[in-house]
Amino acid sequence: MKRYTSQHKKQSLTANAEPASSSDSKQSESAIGGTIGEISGQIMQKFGNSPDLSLRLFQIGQKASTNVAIMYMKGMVNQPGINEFVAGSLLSDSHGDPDQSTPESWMTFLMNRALSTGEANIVHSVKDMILAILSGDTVILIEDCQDGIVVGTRGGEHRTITEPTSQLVVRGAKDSFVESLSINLSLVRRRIQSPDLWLETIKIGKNSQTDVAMLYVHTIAEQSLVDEVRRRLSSIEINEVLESAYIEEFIQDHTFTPFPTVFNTERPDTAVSNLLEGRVVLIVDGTPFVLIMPVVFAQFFQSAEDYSQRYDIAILMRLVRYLCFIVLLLGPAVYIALTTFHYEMIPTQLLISLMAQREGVPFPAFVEAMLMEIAFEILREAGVRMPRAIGQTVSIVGALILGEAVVQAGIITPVMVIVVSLTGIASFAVPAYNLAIAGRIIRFAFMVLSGLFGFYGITLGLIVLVAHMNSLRSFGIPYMAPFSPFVLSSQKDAVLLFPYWMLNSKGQKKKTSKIQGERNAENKLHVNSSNVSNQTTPGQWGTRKDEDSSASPKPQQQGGTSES
Amino acid sequence: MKYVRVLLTLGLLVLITGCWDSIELNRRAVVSGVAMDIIPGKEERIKATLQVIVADEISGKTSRGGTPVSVYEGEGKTIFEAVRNTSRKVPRYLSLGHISAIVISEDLARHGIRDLLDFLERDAQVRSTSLVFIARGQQASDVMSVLTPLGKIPSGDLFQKADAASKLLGYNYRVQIDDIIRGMQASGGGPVINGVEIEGNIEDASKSTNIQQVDTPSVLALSGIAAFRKDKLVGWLDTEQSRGVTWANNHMKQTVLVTGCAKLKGNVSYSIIRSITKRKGDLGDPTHPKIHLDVRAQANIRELDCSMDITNADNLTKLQHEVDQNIQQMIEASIKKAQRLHTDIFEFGDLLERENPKMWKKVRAQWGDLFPVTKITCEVHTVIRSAEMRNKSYHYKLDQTK
Amino acid sequence: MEKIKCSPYQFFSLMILFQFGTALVVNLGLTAGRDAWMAILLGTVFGLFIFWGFSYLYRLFPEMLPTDYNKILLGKVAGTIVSMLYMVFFIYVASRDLRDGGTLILSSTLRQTPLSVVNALMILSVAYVLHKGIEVLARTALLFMVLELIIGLFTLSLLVFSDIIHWERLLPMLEDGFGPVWKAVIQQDYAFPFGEVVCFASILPFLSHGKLGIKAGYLSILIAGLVLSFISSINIAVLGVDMASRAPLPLMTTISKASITEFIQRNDILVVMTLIIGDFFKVAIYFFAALIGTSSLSGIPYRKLIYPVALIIWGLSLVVAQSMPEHLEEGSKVLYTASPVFFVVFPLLLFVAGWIYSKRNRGKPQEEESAGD
Repeated sequence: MKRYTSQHKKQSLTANAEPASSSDSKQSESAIGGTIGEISGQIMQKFGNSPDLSLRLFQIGQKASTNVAIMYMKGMVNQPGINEFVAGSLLSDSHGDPDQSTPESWMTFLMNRALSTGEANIVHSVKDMILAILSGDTVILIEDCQDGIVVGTRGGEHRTITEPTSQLVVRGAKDSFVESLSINLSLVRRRIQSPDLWLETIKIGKNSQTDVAMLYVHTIAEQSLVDEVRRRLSSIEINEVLESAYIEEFIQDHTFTPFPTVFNTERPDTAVSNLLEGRVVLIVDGTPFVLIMPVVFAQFFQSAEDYSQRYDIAILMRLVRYLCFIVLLLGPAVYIALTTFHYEMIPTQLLISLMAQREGVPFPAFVEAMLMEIAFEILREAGVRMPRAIGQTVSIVGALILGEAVVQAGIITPVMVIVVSLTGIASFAVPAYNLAIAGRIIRFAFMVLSGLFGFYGITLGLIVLVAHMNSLRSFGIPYMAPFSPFVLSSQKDAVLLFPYWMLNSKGQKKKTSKIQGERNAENKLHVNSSNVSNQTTPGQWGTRKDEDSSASPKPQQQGGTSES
Repeated sequence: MKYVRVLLTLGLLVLITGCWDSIELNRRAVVSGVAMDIIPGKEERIKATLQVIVADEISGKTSRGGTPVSVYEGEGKTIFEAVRNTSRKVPRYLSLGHISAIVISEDLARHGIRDLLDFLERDAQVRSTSLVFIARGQQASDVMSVLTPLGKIPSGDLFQKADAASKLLGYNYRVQIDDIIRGMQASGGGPVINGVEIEGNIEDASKSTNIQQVDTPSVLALSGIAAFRKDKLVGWLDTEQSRGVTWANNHMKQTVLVTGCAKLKGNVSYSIIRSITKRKGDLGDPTHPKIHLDVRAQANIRELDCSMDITNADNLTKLQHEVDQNIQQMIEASIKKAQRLHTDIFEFGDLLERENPKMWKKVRAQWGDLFPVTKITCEVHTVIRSAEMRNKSYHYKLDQTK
Repeated sequence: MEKIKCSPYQFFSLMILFQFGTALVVNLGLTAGRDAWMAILLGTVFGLFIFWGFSYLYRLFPEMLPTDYNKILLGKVAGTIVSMLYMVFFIYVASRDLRDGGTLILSSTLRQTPLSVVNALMILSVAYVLHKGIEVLARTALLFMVLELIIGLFTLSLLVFSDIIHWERLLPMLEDGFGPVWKAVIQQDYAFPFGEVVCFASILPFLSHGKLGIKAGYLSILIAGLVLSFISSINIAVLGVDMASRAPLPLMTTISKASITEFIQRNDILVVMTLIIGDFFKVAIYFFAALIGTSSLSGIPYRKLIYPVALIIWGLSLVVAQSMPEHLEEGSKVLYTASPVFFVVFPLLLFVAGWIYSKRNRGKPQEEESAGD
């Protein structure tokens, strides 16, 4: 990705098919009289006379006419919209004229009478105009007027909504987020048809000026959480934001840990259900992966599928996932411990076949395990990047080489191959990819421990690992809730999954209390009902509330008061 | 800064390692059985024979046609020394964690086994579930070297023999190391240990030709029970007597009984499917202790070779009576033998101790002499549950026609 | 001092794991022979009593560490001396427990590994967890208690299904009268593990729910006592009283006798895991009690003290005895001489002082000089 550091060389404007009069050269721009020429010249210069910046001049008005120019960035706008609603409405005769011929009255006239676009705002500085153009809006300049009008014409090509690539389900919604912020927002809005879903946007990234939207349901989410997220977002200083992971790194609680404390997902239904539990969702323009915070360990084992199947299957699947995580962590370590330290634990028959396998093998079990695990990681990395055409070949090659040939050559024992492949497959069974990564890192530590000290090392390692996980917090919520500060009500959805009619017995209230219950269980605070009152305007930066705070407080009260 | 310290500590930890205890599987010699013999001479020395599993031969692809196990011998003053001395011959670490059978020769048993068991009990690796045997009239090292057709590891074969026999035949029961120790500590008595012997040619038993014929020339067979007084072997109990011991000690699981057919001609075979023996002791009179055994058994008729009509309840009662008597005779035979040998292998001493601790204290020291004159009565109640798939036998009809 | 809160569940699991500690696997009360289980139950009563005393003091001085209220109850000088003695005692016991755990691991599984390494590993893990705070320790305790519960149920069912329990080995009861039972209690069982709840006095101030936490404490002592006595009786039932009393780790021998269909065999590793977990928490709590007391006496924040004290404990554990029998002998000597002082005399002193204090109403700090020490 090129950084926004170099300026384009000045280019001569080429004729293009757009209705902008790009036959104007730089000279003719300054030939455009007055303020329009000035301002548009400034803007053009800032952009380095980029050929995809369009400038179109009009004259409007019947009796008294004035010059008007529109500027927009080709490719980021809804071109038909501009043609019809901006250019068309400006050039239409049916509006009449303003009373006076001053620029201010022209401005008011355009705003109130002429422009038929859905959004229209007045901006006062060139900087704002530039930002607007960069977002895909159109700037309308009026002669002799220092201000401009920004109309919303965002559009441009974007990826269609398809199936998510990472978190697939058999039954359930199959749409996924895309790269465009507005489309993602619409996907969420469609699912929560309630005005209580509030959102705020902020531009992050010095050069990329990426839009980041923060969503929350203000009647469910805790005010302190929202404030905290906002605070962390606004303190980010970074050059560019190309993926939500950049933001994730900045806003997560700073602890030296491989475990993720922020959840990400590509699926709108996951995001929505988390919103309804009182969590905050961050949508970053340019990536389909949204961030969800705060998060607890149990969530990484939940999949959207659990809710679309019967609860008994869901329980089984959840247990399998936990088991897979344990296998991922401890599989090779236990194998090493058993064969080198505690051979007496293996049943005699199995022991004999293990011994027979080990006969010709040159490496000790620990080295073998390390080699195989590293080879597996190599295979995995390669598999990710393979173009689809060769993907199949690689997997066959990998299986044959690493599996068969290595065993035939007598370098690795077959049991080791089994253990490693089981571990590898188990790592894919964990629904959240970032947790699987954490598991993969930690299993190497366990292998070392067990290679040195056998089961003693594994047990101590387990204690230290659990203690470490217990000390993590995600935005103030203990990471191991609802296991560790034991919240009984949240057990309904932690490992076991109760049927829906039991989960939602009190509707919103129960779901709300999850997070608050977790907080409360830990420090026994009493949550006051101030959350119910309308929240104040968030402050420095523009909001995009689609409904202002005239919404009265809903009759359903906070779950927080019920939980203590 | 914190992380540097952590890393430094971990780094140091790695430096001081040496993986002291980790031994690769292929550097271990897994011992599946131990045999102990006595070497007569001025100083008694013990010969230990270790049966080591050769894993390649059993399941590897590189089997060279050798035997699945190999035996190595070593001598020493004590069993531990003898075992360690075999490491002169064994190229790998001796790993005793999978011993399934321990065989002691009869000579050594008569000499006394008290010095043999501490090592086995104390070692952390030796399993407490290994079974102990006495090689009857033979050298234990020979027993350890027999190749068996079913089950590649001979000790495993022996173990399973004992297991199966105890469950099906009732001639013996599983005796583990701690049973022996407890038996030795019982006052006036001693443990019982299963006997084993090689039937057939001893020389050829250890050759692979042994298992290359349909009719295995030399077979390991369980043979009676050895009775000990304290730690010395004093006598053998065979067939009826050994079953009696099993019965009296409440270890009977299943067995076969053949009795006559009440007053009719012919035999009836039963399978005893369940049996519980309740034991009561009475130490009211310390010079005349009394013990009463109450056996409740359930039997199925497996073979009815006479024309008894068992659909008649009275007849069944008669048959039950036969069985009762049969069992009673067996138990009494075993008790008589034990009394003749002057050893309380039935743990009656413990029984009396439980019943009447105060009185027992006075009698404890003389129990060895009291036991032979103790009056032991026995009462058996058998219930015949079923007769499998037929009721009257075809003999019924046969005897009616001529 | 940090205002961390420990919920009743967590407190319960801390106490249970602590009491199980090494007591679960060693031969507890077996000097009383077959009646060991009775001795343990009596010890439980004693533990309840001590805990009652300390909870009384806690109610008098909630949020205050024992080191602080010692000063109030016994006067500044005496109080400080008593507190310091306790600190030294705790460190000593922590190092003994560390050594216990290490030796047991060595004799059962890792034979060749040097004791220093095994102990170092354990104490480093404890130091790490304590560095994160008592809250983390408590939460971890909760999770591991569940784990031990599962292991316990599994091994129990193994034992039952292996048909090796002979309850009649527990008879005759009270063969030699109550004497041996009493002796066992006085020699060992009142202190180990029940008297040791003394160090929980340092944790009481961190309870989030005072009353509920105290109840959890009582419950844990009761349950721990019942379970330990049950296990002791199972050991005797399976192994016979002689073998059980000769084995340093009778539970391990018991479990290794359990086998089902030749496949599930040699489950001693479960016992080893239980031992490691229990010992870990025991050392951790003693360590913590020592730390928190020392830090409150000296004013140094306790995080800075962690590594130095860890080093001391580690060094002590290596030096304390040269061999296992010597270690055990010292243990019983300690139990004879030091434990009565720390587990009975000082607590009684404190309880009495507290009672006197509460009688004279609370407005007056520090004027108590009860029966001198």
